[in-house]
Amino acid sequence: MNQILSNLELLKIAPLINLELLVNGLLVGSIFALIAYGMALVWGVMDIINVAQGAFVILGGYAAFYFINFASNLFPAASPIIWVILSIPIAAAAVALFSYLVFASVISRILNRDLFVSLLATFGIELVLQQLMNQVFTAEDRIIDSGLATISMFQYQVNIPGSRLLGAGLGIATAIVIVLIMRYSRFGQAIRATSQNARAAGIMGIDTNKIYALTFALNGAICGVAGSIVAFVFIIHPFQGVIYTLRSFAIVILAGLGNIAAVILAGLGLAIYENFAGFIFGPQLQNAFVFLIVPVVLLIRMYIMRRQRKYLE
Amino acid sequence: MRTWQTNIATLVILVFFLVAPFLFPNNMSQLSDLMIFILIALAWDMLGGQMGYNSFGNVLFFGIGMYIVASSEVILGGFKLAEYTSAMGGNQGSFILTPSQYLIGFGVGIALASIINFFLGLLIGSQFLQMRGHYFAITTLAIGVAAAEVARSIPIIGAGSGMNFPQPPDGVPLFHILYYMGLALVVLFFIFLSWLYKTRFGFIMNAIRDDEDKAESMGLPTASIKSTAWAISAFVFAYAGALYGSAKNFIDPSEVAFPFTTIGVWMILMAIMGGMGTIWGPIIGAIVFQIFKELFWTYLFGWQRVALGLLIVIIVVFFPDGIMGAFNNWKKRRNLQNTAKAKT
Amino acid sequence: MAEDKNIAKDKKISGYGSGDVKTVMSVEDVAKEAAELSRNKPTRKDLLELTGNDEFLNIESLTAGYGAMDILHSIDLVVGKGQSICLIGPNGAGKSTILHSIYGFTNIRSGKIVADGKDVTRLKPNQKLSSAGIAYILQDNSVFPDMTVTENLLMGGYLMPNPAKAKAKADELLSRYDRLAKRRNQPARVLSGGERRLLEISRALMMEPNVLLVDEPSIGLEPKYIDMVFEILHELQHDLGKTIIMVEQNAKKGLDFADFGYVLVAGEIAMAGKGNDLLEDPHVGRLFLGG
Ligand SMILES: Nc1ncnc2c1ncn2[C@@H]1O[C@H](COP(=O)(O)OP(=O)(O)O)[C@@H](O)[C@H]1O
Ligand SMILES: [Mg+2]
Repeated sequence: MNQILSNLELLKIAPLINLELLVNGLLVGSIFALIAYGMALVWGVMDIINVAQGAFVILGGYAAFYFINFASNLFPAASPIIWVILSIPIAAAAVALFSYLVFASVISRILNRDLFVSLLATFGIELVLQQLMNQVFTAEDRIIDSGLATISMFQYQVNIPGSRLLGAGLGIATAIVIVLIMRYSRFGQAIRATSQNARAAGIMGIDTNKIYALTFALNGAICGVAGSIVAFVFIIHPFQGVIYTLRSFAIVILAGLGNIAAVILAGLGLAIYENFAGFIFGPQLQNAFVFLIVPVVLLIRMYIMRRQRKYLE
Repeated sequence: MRTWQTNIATLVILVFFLVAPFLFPNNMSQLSDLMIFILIALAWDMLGGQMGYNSFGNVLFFGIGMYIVASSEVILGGFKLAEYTSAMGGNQGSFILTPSQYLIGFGVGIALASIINFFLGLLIGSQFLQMRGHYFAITTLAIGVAAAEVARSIPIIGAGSGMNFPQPPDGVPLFHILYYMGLALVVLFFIFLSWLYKTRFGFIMNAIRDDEDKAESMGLPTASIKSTAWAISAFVFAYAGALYGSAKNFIDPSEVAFPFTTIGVWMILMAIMGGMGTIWGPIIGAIVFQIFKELFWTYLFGWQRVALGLLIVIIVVFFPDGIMGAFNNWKKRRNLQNTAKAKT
Repeated sequence: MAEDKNIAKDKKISGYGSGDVKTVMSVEDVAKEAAELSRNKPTRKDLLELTGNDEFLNIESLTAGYGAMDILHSIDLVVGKGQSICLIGPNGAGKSTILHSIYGFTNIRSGKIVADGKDVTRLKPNQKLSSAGIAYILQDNSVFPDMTVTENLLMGGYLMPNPAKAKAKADELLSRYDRLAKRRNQPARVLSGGERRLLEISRALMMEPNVLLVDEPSIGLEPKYIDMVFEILHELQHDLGKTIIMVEQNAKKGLDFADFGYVLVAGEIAMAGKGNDLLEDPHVGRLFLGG
C-alpha cells in the first residue's frame, strides 16, 4: 500500500515520468493493436476466435530471428537494421503459409461449428505450436538487436528505446497497408462482403471458402509482421504467446469487431493503462490488470444490456 | 435406461477402484490423479454438457481450494503463514508437523476449501452466468488466467515463487489418503448427479442448454439454477484442487493452482472425449485420457505435450460426440436393425 | 443451420397469405392429396407443349442433393425465353434445391442443365453468373448490411472485369429505381423490407443476366410490398425479356404471376401446367390454396 502511494507521489513530483509511460504505452500499444486487428478480422469474417494468435506471433519472431542470424552470418558487414527490415516480409510469408496449412487441416473443418469449438481447437493448436517451438527452438530467450540506441530527453527523464520507435512505425505502416487493402482492393471488398453475409457473397460469385482461407492466411501474415517486431522490441520465447493472445482478446472485447479505428484506440489505450498500472501497482501485477479488464468490461457491458432487457451474446 | 447390466458394470468398476491401490501399488500418484480427473470432468460437464455453459475458468476454484488447504495445514500446525512462506527458501526443516497436526490441517482445510468455494461460486456465478455463449467462455478464460497473475503477486501465499505444502510426516500414507478421499467423492458425486439429472433441477439445466430464452419465458428459475449448479461444481473443483495440490506437494500459481493450459483444457477434453452431457461420458473420458497421458509421457517423452495438444485438436474436430456418442449411435443403429428384422 | 432458420421463418408467415399447408390439412391428408397429384406426372412432351417448344432453359432428368443425400429425383423442367415459371410445393419438397442446382450449389449426380443451348450442368456459381447469364435472388435477407446501397449494387458486379462499367450499370439501375436512388449512400441495414428486396433484385441485375432465379420473393414482406415486388418482376419479364424461375410459398400470388406452374412433391415434379389452370385445379387448391 505504501509502495503504491509513493509511486503515485512520484508521478506527481516527476511529471515527466507520465510522459515516458504515455509514449512507451503508445509505441507498445500500436504493436498490440496490430495483433488484435488480425484476431478481430478472423473473428468477424469467419466467426473463429483464434487462441493460437500469440503462438503465431512467436512463430513469426523465430522466423525473423533465424533469418537475421543466417543473413548476418552470410554478410557480416551489412548493418543489422537492413536485416531487421527485411525479416518482416520473410516472417509474414512464413507465418501466412503456416496459417494456411492450419486452415486447410483444421479450421476449414470447424467453420460452421459452435464458437466454443473454435476456442478449443485453436487452444489445442496453440499448445501444439508452443510445445513444438519449445522442442525445436529450445526455451532460451531470443532477442534481436536492432542496433538502435535509446533516445533520451529531458536529462534522461524520458527514455524511449529506438527499437520501440521503429517497431511502432512498422506496425503502423502495416496497419495502413491492410486498411487500404480492405477498403479498396477486390480482395478486401470480398472479405467485407463475406463477413457481412456469406450466403449473399456466394451468390455474387465470391468463393467464400477461398476468402476464409485467405483471411486466415492474411491474419498469419499480420502475426508474422508483429512477431518480427516483437523479436527486436521485446523477446521471443516459446511460451510467451499467451500474453499476446490475451491482450488481443482484451482489445477486441473493448473495441468490438470490424472497426479498425476502435481496435487501434483500444490497443493504444490498453497499453497506456497497463503501463500506468504496472508503474503504480508494481510490474508483477501488470498482467493481472490486463487480464482482469476482460471480465470487468464484459460485466459492465452486460449490466447495461440487461437494463435494456438484452443479453450479451 | 438403467438396466441390470449397467448396475453390474457399475459395481464391478467400483470394486475395481476399491482394490486398485493393492493391484497397482507403484502407481498411486497416477491413480489419485485419475480420481481428481474424474471429479473435474464430471463437475465441468455438469455445466458444459448438461447446462450448455462452457467454462474455461473452473481452475479458479481449483487453485483457491489448493491454497486454502496448504494454508490450513500451516496454520493448524501452529505456524504463521507469512513466516512459513517467506522462509520457504530452503529451511523447510524448521516447519515439521506431527501426523495428527497434518491430518487435522488437511481435513479442516479440504472442508473449508469446498465450502468457501461453494459460496464463492454462488457469488461469482450469480453475476457471470448472466452472460451467454462465447462471452461466458472468454470471460471465464480470462478469469482463470488473471487468477494466476493475482496469486503471483500475493506475498503471503508465496507470490510468484509458489508455496510448498508442509512435508507429510512419516507414517502418513499420503497417496492412499488422497486416492480414497477422491474415490469417496467420486462415488458420492456420481450418485448425486444420477439423482440430480432426473429431477426437475436437472431438466431445467437441460432446458437452459437447449433454449435458455424459452426456459426463462416459461418462468423457470434459470438464474438460481445456474448459480447453484455452478456453486456445486465449484465445491467439487475446490475439493479436487485440494487433493491435486497435496499430491504435487507444491503450488506454482500458473502450473499447479490455476493451470489453464493443462487442467483447464483437460477437464473439457475429458468430458468431450467421453461424451458431453452424459453421466458416464466424463468418467470414461477421464480414464481414457489418463491412459493416453501416461502413454504419451512414457513413450513420447519430450514430445508428450505436443501429442496431447494434437489429441485435443483431433478430438474436438473429428470426434465431438465422444465415446458415449459413438456408443449411443451404435446402439441406435442396432435397435433399428433389430426392429427391421422383427418386422420381416 | 441456415436451412433451419428458413424453416422457422416459413412457419412464421403461415399466419397470413393463403399458401401454407399445415394450417389447412392434416399430414395424412396432405400425403394422400400429394399421391393423387403425382398419379399423372407430366412427360417431357407435356412440358415442351407448355412452352411452345422453346427450351431456353432446359433441365433433363436431374438428380441432385447435398453431400451424399439426394433431394431431387429425375427432375425435368423447361422454360422458354422471356417466360416465367413458379415452383410450388410443401416445405422441404426441394424447391430451393432446384434453384440451388441450377446455380451450382448442389452435387449433381446425373442429368443435365442446358441454358441457351449451352450445357451448364457443371459450371460453378461464379461461372453461372459471369458466363451463363444466370442470377440468383436468395430466399432470406441477403443485403450487405454495412455497405451502402451503391456498394451493394457494386458487389452485384463483383465479377465484372471493368470497375467503370460496374459503376455505370449501378447508376443505370439507380436511375430506374427511384426509391433506391434516394438512399444510395445509406447503409443497407436502414432500408425497409420492401426496399431491401428491391435492392436484392436490382443487385441481381448488375451482371445483365437472362435468367433470374427468385426464391420466395414475398417471404417476410408486408402485404403492401408484396404487390410492388411482383410488379417489378412482371416488368422484368415483360419489358426486359428476362426469364424467371420462381419459388413461391404464396401459391396464389405465384401462380397468378407466372406463365406456368410446377408442383413439386418430395423431390419430384408431380404436376405442371399453365399458372391459371393450376389455380383452378381442385387438388392444387386443396393442397396449396387453402380451400
Ligand atoms: N444446405 C443443405 N444441406 C443439406 N440439406 C439441405 C440443405 N438445404 C436443404 N436441405 C434439405 O433438402 C430438403 C429440401 O429443402 P429445400 O429445397 O430448401 O425445400 P423447399 O425450398 O421446398 O422448402 C430438405 O429436407 C432440407 O432439409
Ligand atoms: Mg425454400
